[in-house]
Amino acid sequence: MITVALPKGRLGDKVYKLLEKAGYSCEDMNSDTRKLVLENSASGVRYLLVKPTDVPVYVERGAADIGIAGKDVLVETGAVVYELMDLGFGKCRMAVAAKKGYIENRDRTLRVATKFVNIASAHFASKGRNIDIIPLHGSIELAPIVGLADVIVDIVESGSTLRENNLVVIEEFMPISARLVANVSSYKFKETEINKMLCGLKEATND
Amino acid sequence: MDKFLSILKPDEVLNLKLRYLYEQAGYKKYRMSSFEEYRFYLENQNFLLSNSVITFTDLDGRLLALKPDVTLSIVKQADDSELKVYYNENVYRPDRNKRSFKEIAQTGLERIGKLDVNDLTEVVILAAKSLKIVSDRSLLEIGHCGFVNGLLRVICEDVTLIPKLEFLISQKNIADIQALCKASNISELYIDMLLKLIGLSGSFDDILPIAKKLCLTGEMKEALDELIKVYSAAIAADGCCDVKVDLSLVGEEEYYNGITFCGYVDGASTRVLSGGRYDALLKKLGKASGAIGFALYFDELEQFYYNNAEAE
Repeated sequence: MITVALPKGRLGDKVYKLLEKAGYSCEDMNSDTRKLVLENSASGVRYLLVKPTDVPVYVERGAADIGIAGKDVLVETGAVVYELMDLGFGKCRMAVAAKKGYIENRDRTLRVATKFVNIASAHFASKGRNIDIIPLHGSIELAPIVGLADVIVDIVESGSTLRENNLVVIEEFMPISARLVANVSSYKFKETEINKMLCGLKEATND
Repeated sequence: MDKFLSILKPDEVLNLKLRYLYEQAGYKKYRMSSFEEYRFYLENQNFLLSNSVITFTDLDGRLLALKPDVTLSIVKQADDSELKVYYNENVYRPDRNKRSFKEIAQTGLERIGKLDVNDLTEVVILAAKSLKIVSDRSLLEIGHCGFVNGLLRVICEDVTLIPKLEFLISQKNIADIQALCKASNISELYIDMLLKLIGLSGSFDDILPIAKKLCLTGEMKEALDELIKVYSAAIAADGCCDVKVDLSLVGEEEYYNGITFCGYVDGASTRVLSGGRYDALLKKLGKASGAIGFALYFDELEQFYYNNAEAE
């Protein structure tokens, strides 16, 4: 039995469709159930429906053997897991954005609003830039508009949210996509089953 | 006697069994102070997993630290004579998930002296036997830093790439290895070799033909030959857990420079044992000997035993 941590939402739905195609279906997944653990013993799979940002935790701690998470979440949590496959979708970029016309004043500490505290801190530390991190959990784009921050660090897909809020990307620094990750210990003892699922997923993705 | 044993927790019983195993093999228990002078860690920072240590000022004004590592302290005490010791100590390291330190109980074994391949084998077999005592469903993976490092040194003209690639190899992260190599103008031939390296785990019979093709230097060939000898002896020994080779194994500690190994137990979420050869650390401390050792992480094992008890 392989336990899969699936992120709730669009990404998880897309991955489930591929896993279903690869032979890892689970009847309850297509119903409106509020169950968080769904299992199909015949195909040897158990799905845990978790918040996307929690997927690395479930996998690293061994509550799930494998999971699907964005590269952004993996880097931010620093989870020690095997990153076995780039699924090739959920593509976006980690970017620094600011109000249109913003000119950086290098003579003062840069105020950075973000959900990605670790990623933003590491990025500016690598450039030797002193920053003041402003941790937020949503509507990050609001921060420069109301003067809470000079810039934001956030994921950008099409850029439409930024445009609508009169913000522009001033730097892109990390390509992001969905990754399949595995618990290090589980991979040692369930390597054959995990690799079989991986192959099925690759074939389903290429179809 | 049994009535006394019955009150012990599984990890306490394990500790006794390990002590018996190590004593039978001629290793002596080593007890050390909980404190070291902070200056000692400062001078040997590269050999620590983290630069953060708990410090305090002693009554005589010296800045002391709570041990973040046991091996360093043992090596410091070693002279040029043979040393075969085991320990059961607490170390203090930062907890990644919260802004505080955590106490980690470790049992470990160190062999210091002029080492030949038989001595290396002895320690690897003791690691494999230790894991077998923990659980029948356990695995020891053996690799060699000389193999991975040899390949990376040939591939990377820019040495700053080496730690980045080591990290990605440890993640088995094919996608990002390809991306980083392409961005760094590394040839397709070398990228292919790195990807092959990631797959080189399992039984030696299965991986040897490919491993031989990857040997680009004398250092890599020597590493492979040494690994074959140690692996062959370990799979032939009685009382060991399952033993496999993982040529992509990157030494977790900075000080590993030869044979390196990691132990896993089915039901524990991460590795429960790590070890390897660390002559480089002795050299840094001005000693001519070689050294090899390993540690079992009791915080991980405690959780493993707890989960097992819950399941029962």
